[in-house]
Amino acid sequence: MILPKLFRTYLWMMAQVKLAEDGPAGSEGAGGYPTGTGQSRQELFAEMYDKNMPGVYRYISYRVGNPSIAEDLTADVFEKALRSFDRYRKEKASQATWLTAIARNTVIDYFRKSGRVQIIREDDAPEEASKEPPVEDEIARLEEVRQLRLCLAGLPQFDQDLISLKFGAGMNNREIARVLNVSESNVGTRLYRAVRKLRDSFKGWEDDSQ
Amino acid sequence: MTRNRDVERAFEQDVERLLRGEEPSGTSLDAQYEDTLQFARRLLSLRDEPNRQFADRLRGRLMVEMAQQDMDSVEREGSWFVRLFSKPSLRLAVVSGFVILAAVGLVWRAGYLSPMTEQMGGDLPSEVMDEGGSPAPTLEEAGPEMARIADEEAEEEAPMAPSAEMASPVQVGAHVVPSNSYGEEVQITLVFENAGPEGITLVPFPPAVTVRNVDSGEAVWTLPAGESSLMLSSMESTTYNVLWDQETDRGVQVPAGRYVVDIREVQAETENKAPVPAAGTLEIVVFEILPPK
Repeated sequence: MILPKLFRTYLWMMAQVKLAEDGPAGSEGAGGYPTGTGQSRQELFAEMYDKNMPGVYRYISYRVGNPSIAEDLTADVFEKALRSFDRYRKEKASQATWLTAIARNTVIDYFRKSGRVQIIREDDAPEEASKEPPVEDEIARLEEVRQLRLCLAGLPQFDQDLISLKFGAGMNNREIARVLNVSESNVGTRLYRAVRKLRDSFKGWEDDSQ
Repeated sequence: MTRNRDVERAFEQDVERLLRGEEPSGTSLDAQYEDTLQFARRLLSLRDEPNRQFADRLRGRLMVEMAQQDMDSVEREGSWFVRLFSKPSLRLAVVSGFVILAAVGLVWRAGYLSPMTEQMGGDLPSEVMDEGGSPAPTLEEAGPEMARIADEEAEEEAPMAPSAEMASPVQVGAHVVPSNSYGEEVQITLVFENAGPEGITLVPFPPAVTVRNVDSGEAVWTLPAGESSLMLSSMESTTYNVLWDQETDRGVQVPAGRYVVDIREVQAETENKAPVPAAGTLEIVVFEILPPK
């Protein structure tokens, strides 16, 4: 009989559609976030935020050198991530890589829109400086921070990203390679040279001030 | 060159240790290396941790935005009907469902799914099976001559025949033992079924039954239509046995060979005396008369 065959074919097609939509139990769903774990979309996003926000903030802070601007830009990054959360694909990039790529573009946009070169001004010093009368050591530390960031801003864009991602976000070479679209070995090679360049630049400032 | 690579690799590993909060390996390659590693420590100390209040405030705001986004999404998606077509997989499911239903409808209208076909093709009584257990041959197996005659007669009757829109509720089948000894009576079992939703009356009853020679197509014997009638309520069926003595209408024994039972124009009317489309056998049943021993 043709009718049962047609009906079985239809059921099979429906089963395939269901499988394609859900994926195997406990696997990644179409939206990249796991299905079958019982977690809601909000819980999954909150988990991603808790895990990655400090790294994103540190990277941005490293690049812009101003805590309040770093906070604004960090908020921008996560709002962008929220808007495109459903399009995130885990198989393409880890959450850290995905968020850092958004952060990097956000920082680039910030510098482009504000039309400013990355010069660290006096008022970009950390906010803590204005809250309490700093002791001499603290003043010295803040000055050091400001000068280091100034030196960092003088490096090529790639080196700035490399140092910020490594020492700010604390990413490993593989993740940095994915964000900067270079090979992993290239990251390892360039890191030592970038840090030396920054150290040489900073040493010159230290020598001048002494 | 190799030394440079070694230095870069050692630096990479030491920085990873520093990031994990461990101490460097202690391998001192040279003063410059030590200096650079020391500088890396200073870079790490520059890291600003996010303010706790800021982190909590942003988290709360994002959660509210996400909840709002979900609500907007539900509103935007609108009715269940719109949602049904918004997902590609669901769209595929719905469209394929309609396509399959349409295919089933076409097959049904072509008559392949009628109950009579099942009864005749699938559940033939054992006595109408041949020795190999297969059902009696059909028109396609009966030979080109019969097929030609059937086609010609169908064409002749076309103006009178009901259209496909008016399929007859009367289903007619015929069962005959496939192989019959020469000179013995052949039992022809006719099955009539009312597949319609309301009761009908077959008038006249029994209908005319013709036996034809397959090879020549000639009608060798005809049982004239009866003068009575038979009522069949909805989905009711009945059988009627005809015995043929293997003689022609002129009373002569037919030669051995293949013959076919042909029933046409089974007339019927509804309980309100309204005529229903005429029906004929769904399959032309072929049987054989064996040569004399």
